[in-house]
Amino acid sequence: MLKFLKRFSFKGSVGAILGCILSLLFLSSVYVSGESPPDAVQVGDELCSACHDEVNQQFQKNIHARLAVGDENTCEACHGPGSKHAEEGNPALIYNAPRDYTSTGKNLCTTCHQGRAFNSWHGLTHFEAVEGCSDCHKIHSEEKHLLAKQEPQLCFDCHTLKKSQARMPSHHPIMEGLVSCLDCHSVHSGDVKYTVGDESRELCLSCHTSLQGPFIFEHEPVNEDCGICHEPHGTIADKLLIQNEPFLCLSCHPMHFHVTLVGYEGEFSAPMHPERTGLSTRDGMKQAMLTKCTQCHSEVHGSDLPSQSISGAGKALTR
Amino acid sequence: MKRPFIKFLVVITAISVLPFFPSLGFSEEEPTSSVWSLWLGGHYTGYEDFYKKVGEFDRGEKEAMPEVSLSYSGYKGDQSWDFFGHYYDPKRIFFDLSGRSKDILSGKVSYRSSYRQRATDLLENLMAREATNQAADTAGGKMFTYEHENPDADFGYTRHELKTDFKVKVPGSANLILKAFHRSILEKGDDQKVVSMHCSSCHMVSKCAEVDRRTHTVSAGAEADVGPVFFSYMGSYRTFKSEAPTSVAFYDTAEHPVKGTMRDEFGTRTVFNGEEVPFGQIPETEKMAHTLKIKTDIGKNGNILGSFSNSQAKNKSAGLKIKSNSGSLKYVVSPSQKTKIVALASLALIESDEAQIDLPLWRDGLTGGGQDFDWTRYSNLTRTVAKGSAKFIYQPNRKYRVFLSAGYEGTERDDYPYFEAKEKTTKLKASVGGRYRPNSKFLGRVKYSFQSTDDPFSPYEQMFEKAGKGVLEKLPDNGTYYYFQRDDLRYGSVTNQPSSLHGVELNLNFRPNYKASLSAGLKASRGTNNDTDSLDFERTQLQPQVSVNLAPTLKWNLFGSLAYMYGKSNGLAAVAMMDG
Repeated sequence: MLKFLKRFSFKGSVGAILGCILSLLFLSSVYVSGESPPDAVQVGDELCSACHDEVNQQFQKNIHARLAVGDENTCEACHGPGSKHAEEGNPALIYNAPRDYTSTGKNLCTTCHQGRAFNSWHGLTHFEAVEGCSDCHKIHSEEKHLLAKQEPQLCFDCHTLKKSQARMPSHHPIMEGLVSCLDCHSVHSGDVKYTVGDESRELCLSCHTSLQGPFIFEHEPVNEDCGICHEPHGTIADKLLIQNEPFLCLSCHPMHFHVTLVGYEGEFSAPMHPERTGLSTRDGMKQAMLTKCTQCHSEVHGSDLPSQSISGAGKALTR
Repeated sequence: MKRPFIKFLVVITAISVLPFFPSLGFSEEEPTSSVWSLWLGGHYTGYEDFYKKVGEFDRGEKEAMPEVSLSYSGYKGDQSWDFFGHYYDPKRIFFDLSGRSKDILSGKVSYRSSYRQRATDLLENLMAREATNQAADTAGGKMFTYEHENPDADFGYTRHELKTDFKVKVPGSANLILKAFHRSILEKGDDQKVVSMHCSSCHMVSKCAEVDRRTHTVSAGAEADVGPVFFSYMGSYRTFKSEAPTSVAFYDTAEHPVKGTMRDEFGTRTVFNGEEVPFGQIPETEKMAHTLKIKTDIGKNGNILGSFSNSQAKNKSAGLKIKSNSGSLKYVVSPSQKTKIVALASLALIESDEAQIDLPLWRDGLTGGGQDFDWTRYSNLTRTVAKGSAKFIYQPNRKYRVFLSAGYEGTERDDYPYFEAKEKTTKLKASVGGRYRPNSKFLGRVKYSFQSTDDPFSPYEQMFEKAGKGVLEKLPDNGTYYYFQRDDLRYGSVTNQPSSLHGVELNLNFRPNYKASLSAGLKASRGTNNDTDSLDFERTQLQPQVSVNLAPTLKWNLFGSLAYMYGKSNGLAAVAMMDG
């Protein structure tokens, strides 16, 4: 697999994808579109449950059923009159909302679920991407929020890249159940969950409040976008960094004062402080690659306290 | 946990639970149902190596730990309540209680705690020094050393979070709903803090610092339908304070890093010299935000949603503020049953206070000294951000759906860290995609996206130093050039942000019946930046995946998936170019 991926050709993969799409176009197509005939009449829940007992049992604890207590035509409120379907048992003779979904026209669920939490549902990426509300919701279910699966698995079914990232050594504790996808993402509204204007920071700062600032000494990418250094779902590098130190830092700060010349091999002591001893090897350059910039620049997100050097104008974020 | 905070949590919890009690008194005639479950179990986790990293959020006790969870769900008539609680270990507890009384009152209170284990940096990489000659066979020169005050420490902190959320529909009003929200986060424990204390030999010291961070957020607002227009307002106030004692470190008198002399010379180059000073101090902050939203239908098949937001964040310790005003519009219209257009536009103005930095004079009283390094810190957060996008969707029938979108994003900063670059970053985005669903059993989706960025974010200090001593001016009465002067000679742009980004997504799903489904997908992206004058940058990500889902009955669900992720970044790592 790895060898294959190393030989991965971007142009080749685009060709393969286009090939798949073209082959799909030749697949046979029989679209099942159910609809209650105009002359069908309502038959009541009891008759429906005679055949669909398993669904009916579950549906009795469903929020829709609870809201419609006393109504004897609960099923037909969504599925339409069912007499023809009951007579012939043909699924084409009853309305089935999930198979009727379009992102351009009216949809059954959104006739009730509009406004408020669904204020900007129309036009949202989720609204366009799904094949209907039943992608995520089991409409007859007794589960909370009628979810087809519990998160994060429900979200991971489509967002597979995030699923991989959530299992990397450094990750937000999504798999541990300590952070929910909904803590950061608003799946129905698409509205910015926090203050508009500085949203890319605010989403992170709503939990990581100690980094809010504004600080006297700033680190510019912190103002810009947390994503310049961090991938929030998970990374191989420590602390959700997109690369390990020092490489991440060197990608913007390549010209830095370092003690990295290929060096002396053996025990040593500091010239002016003989009590301080250490071991030096000839792997000085490798040692440099093990440098952790944040050991010195410990307040990398910003600080109100000046660093040591005057000529550095106090902005090295070391304290 | 300090007592005032515990009292606060108890009071909030008690107030939160109160609204649920009236819902328990129902007449027997109303339909009633309740379901509860108790789960008893345990867990054992053992980590042999790197357990502090792998077990960052799951300590892993090398003994069997009991575990219990309880769930309860019930309703009477149009009133309902749910509870779920889970005890994992003493530091990881979760509960969630929610209820609804008729269509008037709904509330939710939840609590979760967790422990975050912090890895200990033993600082061993700091055992390094320079050779004093080209052959690199003579010891001497500068070196890094370190001192670890707590090498065997088990750093970490516990996080407690309590949230309450209420909505009340005002009786007598058609649709006026009042909303209130509260959230408190307490993080308490200890963490490692590393500080450079000795200028003469780059001596780093690791200390243990107490963690006691407290965040409180309260929000309140209302929403209502006034005729055809929907209004929503939410005001939010957030505070942060660290109650941990401030860490302090003694900074040696500065001296020549190799010779250990010239204390006058070096002492005047540092902000502090032979004194104990605080470090790692977290400022006390607050933030106030107001958000107003308005939505109304336009015509038979269109609607428009507008929002306006004002916020102010303040560093109370330093007296600095960030002010933000922004507005956005979203217009959705379906010109026909087969088409839809989604248009978005937003504008944000952010202004961050300037700060005056007062530093002692550099080499005061010495030859060539008396340089003034005071400066005004302008923030690159001060900016204007304008965004606009449009998406066109066409669905001729239920088999096919295609979309095309284009967007613009412009960020104009008042103070850009890359001093020779344009102050504006412009992004142009486009994507095209489609869906094919020949029948209810098969679904295929594909999407291609492209983003072009003109002047992505770049840092201030750049790549190489020109051979330019001749263009530098020596300080008055001084025959020496200093390192800070050489900063002005740097050139060559560098960034880790792509100027060109391509992405492809492909998903195929086959569902022969409602009991089984098979899906396969591929995501790939490639970002490059060939616009810098010093190095090229590229980043590639590739992820194929396949999954199968079997649900033989309504009570059983078997799911398996295999996802592989490949990521690669190319960039130049340049070290030790400017030996001090």
